[in-house]
Amino acid sequence: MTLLEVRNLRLRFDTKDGPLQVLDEISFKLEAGETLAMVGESGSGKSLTALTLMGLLPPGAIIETGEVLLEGRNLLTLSARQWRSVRGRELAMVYQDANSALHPLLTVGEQLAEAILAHRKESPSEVRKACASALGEVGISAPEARLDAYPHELSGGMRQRVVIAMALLARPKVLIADEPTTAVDVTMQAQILELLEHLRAKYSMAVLLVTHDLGVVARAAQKVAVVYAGRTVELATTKELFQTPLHPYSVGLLRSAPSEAAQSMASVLAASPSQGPTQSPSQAPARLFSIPGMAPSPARMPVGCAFHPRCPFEVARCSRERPELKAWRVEVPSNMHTGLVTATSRRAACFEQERVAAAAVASRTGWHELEQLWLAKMEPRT
Amino acid sequence: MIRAALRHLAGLVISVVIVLAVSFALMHAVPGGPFDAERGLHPEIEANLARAYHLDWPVWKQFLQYIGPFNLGPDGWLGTGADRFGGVLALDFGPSLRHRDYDVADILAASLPVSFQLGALALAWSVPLGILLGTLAAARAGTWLDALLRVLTTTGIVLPGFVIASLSLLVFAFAWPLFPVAGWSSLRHMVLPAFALGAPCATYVARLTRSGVLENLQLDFVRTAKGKGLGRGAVIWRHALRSALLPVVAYLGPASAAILTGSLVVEKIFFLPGAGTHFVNSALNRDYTLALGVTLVYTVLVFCLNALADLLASFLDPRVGGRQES
Amino acid sequence: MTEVLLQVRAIGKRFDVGAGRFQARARASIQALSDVDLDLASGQALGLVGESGSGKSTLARILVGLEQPSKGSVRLDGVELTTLSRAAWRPFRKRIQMVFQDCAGSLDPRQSVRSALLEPYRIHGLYSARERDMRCMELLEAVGLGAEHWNRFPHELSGGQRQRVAIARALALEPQILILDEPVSALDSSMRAQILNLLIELKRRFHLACLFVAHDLFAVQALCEHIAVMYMGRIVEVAPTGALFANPLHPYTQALLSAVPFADPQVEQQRRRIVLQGEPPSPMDLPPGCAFAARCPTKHSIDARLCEGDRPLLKGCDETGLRQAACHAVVTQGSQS
Ligand SMILES: Nc1ncnc2c1ncn2[C@@H]1O[C@H](COP(=O)(O)OP(=O)(O)O)[C@@H](O)[C@H]1O
Ligand SMILES: Nc1ncnc2c1ncn2[C@@H]1O[C@H](COP(=O)(O)OP(=O)(O)O)[C@@H](O)[C@H]1O
Ligand code: SF4
Ligand SMILES: [Mg+2]
Ligand SMILES: [Mg+2]
Repeated sequence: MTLLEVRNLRLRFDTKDGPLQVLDEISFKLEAGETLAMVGESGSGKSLTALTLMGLLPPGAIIETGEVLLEGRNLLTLSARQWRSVRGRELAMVYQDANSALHPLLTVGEQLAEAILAHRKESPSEVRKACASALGEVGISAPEARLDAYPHELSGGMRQRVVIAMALLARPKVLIADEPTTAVDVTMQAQILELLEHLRAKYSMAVLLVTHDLGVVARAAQKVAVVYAGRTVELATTKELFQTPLHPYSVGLLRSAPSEAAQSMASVLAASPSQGPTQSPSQAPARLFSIPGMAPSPARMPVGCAFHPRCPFEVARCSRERPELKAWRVEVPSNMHTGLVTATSRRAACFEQERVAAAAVASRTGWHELEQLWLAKMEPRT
Repeated sequence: MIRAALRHLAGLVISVVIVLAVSFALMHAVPGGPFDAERGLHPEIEANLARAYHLDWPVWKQFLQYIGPFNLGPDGWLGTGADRFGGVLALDFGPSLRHRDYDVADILAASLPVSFQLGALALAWSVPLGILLGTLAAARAGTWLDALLRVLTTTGIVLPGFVIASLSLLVFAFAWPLFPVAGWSSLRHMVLPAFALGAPCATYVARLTRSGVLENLQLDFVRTAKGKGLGRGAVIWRHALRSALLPVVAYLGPASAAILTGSLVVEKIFFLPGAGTHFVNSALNRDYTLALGVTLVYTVLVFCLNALADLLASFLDPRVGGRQES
Repeated sequence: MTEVLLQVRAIGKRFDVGAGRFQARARASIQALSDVDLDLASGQALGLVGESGSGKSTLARILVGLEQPSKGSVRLDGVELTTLSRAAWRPFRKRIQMVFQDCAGSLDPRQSVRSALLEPYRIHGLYSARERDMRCMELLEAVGLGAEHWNRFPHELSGGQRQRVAIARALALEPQILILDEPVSALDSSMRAQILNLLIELKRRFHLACLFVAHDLFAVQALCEHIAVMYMGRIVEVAPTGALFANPLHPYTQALLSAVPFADPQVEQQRRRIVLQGEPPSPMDLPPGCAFAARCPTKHSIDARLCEGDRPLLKGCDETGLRQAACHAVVTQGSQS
């Protein structure tokens, strides 16, 4: 049985300016022991999805349709009391901002202890021991002493580790990590990703990793759900997604992430003889790619495919009908060198995905054509 | 921490001097004298009395003599002989001008304990109850309980202390004689005054707590607490209330001040032998020394309580004065 | 060689902080910067990279006069800035502008885009009202915003748009030098690329000298000709961008480079990754030797005691002298080859 499945989750806020459709069919599946990355721009509804899973939605959020199945049990129908035994014990969350996620007036030890005591009775000395060992496990030195520290006495990276330790204490089946590395710097990001990976393997937990960074996806996840404007637009394994993205948005995301290609470009610059501190204008760095336009706000969702105003593959149908997230049988090259083609079943919400796949494959030899396509699309508008 | 204490102390000294100077000046500016009430005093006797108490001196000289342990006149401090050599700096407030057998210090020693008991009692019930009701209102925000509490607290804030005192007297002492009308000999005597004195404080604390808890319930750390699987009770009482208490503790300073000033009226209404009653009487009777003595003691008290509340609040907040490790 | 516009020499900065709640007298100090040297030239950008707490913002604030250095000098066209009074700073403020890390905090929430952009002119009493409006329109256009944003308030803008407004405001007085303190760290990748493109274009168009602060080497590579890597208040490596990426010398630079995940799962699997262990030392109690020694994976390849006991100095390590690194291991390498 699938460990965690989200099906067609739709969520809305009713505001005085009218309804805001913030989630519009989010779907994905998470199996035990794997890491699924949910990737999308800020405002695409990733945090709200995570909070729905935890039953911690802010007041005013209305779940319209959808199911959240944890081992077959629909969490959305739980009572408040039932929720309490699920939170922390079966699903635990690491929050985006570790600064504000910890209570400023309680010591680290007190806050950790609650995570245990909320679910079982234990003697204070045992609780303390468990808390200290959890801190040790997330790589905090002198864990015993840190138990009596207040959050403000710790650095940002350590606070994030405390939050992770807190989530782990009740040994959850699913760990939801909402942008766990966005607020820390790159070296700390590397440490925390490594820690999450180590813990996932050790406890064979499932991890839902929320991020906007495809680099993080490539490093840490086995599967990916790409979300755009509150909707899952593509589901794939990490390898598949990076090899042949089927949704134009995924293509654009991939193109704008720092990659090996970016590094090799830098190396080329270095190899060319550069005397003096100035580089000649001809060596001036090329423009970085970014998907033209802006993500739509929930108040003004485009009709049809939400991506169509920014999409270079748009056809007439896209602005009228909404493409479903369906399994498609597509022929993709399994090996880019031999050009061998295999047919696989993939899920993406796009009418034109065969063209997209072909373009993505072609783009391996150069992004040039794809970028021309994008430019041509944007020209008449600007 | 030590710096904060020093700052408070400096503030105290400055404001004591200002309060003394102003009230001294005001007292003397208002027409009438301390012996007006004693009808039939022979003008010569009155002049003698005035001379004895140096009321014939210029005001500034009287003021200096009142403050300092130094001898300005031939007879030393207030004419009671060269052996009397006091001034407030030596904790001598001089004799009462009305009750001439008593020193102001004696009167204060007898009456302050009454006022303290009353004030402490008022704080002791009003602050915890305010916190309790405020938290309940926040926990049940939007329900009938919240609405009811809101009406109660609004009433408590709007009604002046003397109205509450008189009303509670009317209802619980006259209409429905549960408690004695006046006096100060048993706990039963204390109930009504303590109620009247503490009610505004309780309502204010309740409001402060309610808004603090509601605000905190929106914060991320409360979400974390829920995410651990804690029940609503633990989330509210342990997490949301805890940080909402800091402003309440800081409010204890102004609250004590309000209770002190409130006690002037309440003591008078319930005929309690407290410092407040003496203060009101002394002001009416132009008993300069007694009025100044009470003013002085109250100023110092208000200051100390404020400072104490401040220090307590910063002591309870680990983020103050600590340091960040990075 | 372009002339140096802003010259920073041997800047040091110490913050005194009270330590502990009950030891008001026992004071500690944070050494936020030590011996920092930099040059900024017109039309050139220098990237300043390092983890949080390494002193990048402090340096940026010193350059724009928001903070006084404890020692060292900052010269603009030969004029010493660190000893200027507030009044004497005024004319220079027009020439050096800063975009802050927290753009949400640096824009007044009650101020519309229009009045935020007009403010610099108002403060410096420049131009007529009509001309001000015209210039603001031009600025908005330069940062890729349209007339429809003219009357918006910060909360009605996305993070990227707010950052554009902050940049436009910094450009209002036509500065020669732009100090950018982590302008893209809070943005997600596609927005980040847009802002970087904007900066590249603005730099070219106005011939700006830029100091671009970031914690991520990849964020600065597109814009900057040179990169300085900072660790615990010291510059540990300086190099032309390409050379730094091709062959990072300092072990910390190597770790920083390998920390950024590439958007390519195959590369990620094969790549040699240096994940630093532990935390940086406390800035209140810096070790006597190399500040990086406790986390340094390279120190064991040479004499670890050298690293722990003796502070390496920033030295030139190629013929041109353009590449500099402060590491004992690097010096050993250089003398071998
Ligand atoms: N309490 C709320 N009321 C109204 N809209 C909200 C609320 N919380 C979030 N939103 C909106 O929902 C959308 C998705 O938000 P979020 O899930 O936080 O995005 P992400 O985590 O992907 O950045 C955003 O457009 C945001 O403005
Ligand atoms: N006003 C200040 N008072 C005390 N310490 C400070 C102050 N500003 C910065 N610091 C300290 O100086 C060091 C460098 O900080 P900062 O320049 O903000 O680093 P970065 O911008 O690289 O993250 C940090 O240890 C920080 O705690
Ligand atoms: S459905 Fe159409 S508009 Fe949407 S992504 Fe596919 S091609 Fe583009
Ligand atoms: Mg989010
Ligand atoms: Mg900074």
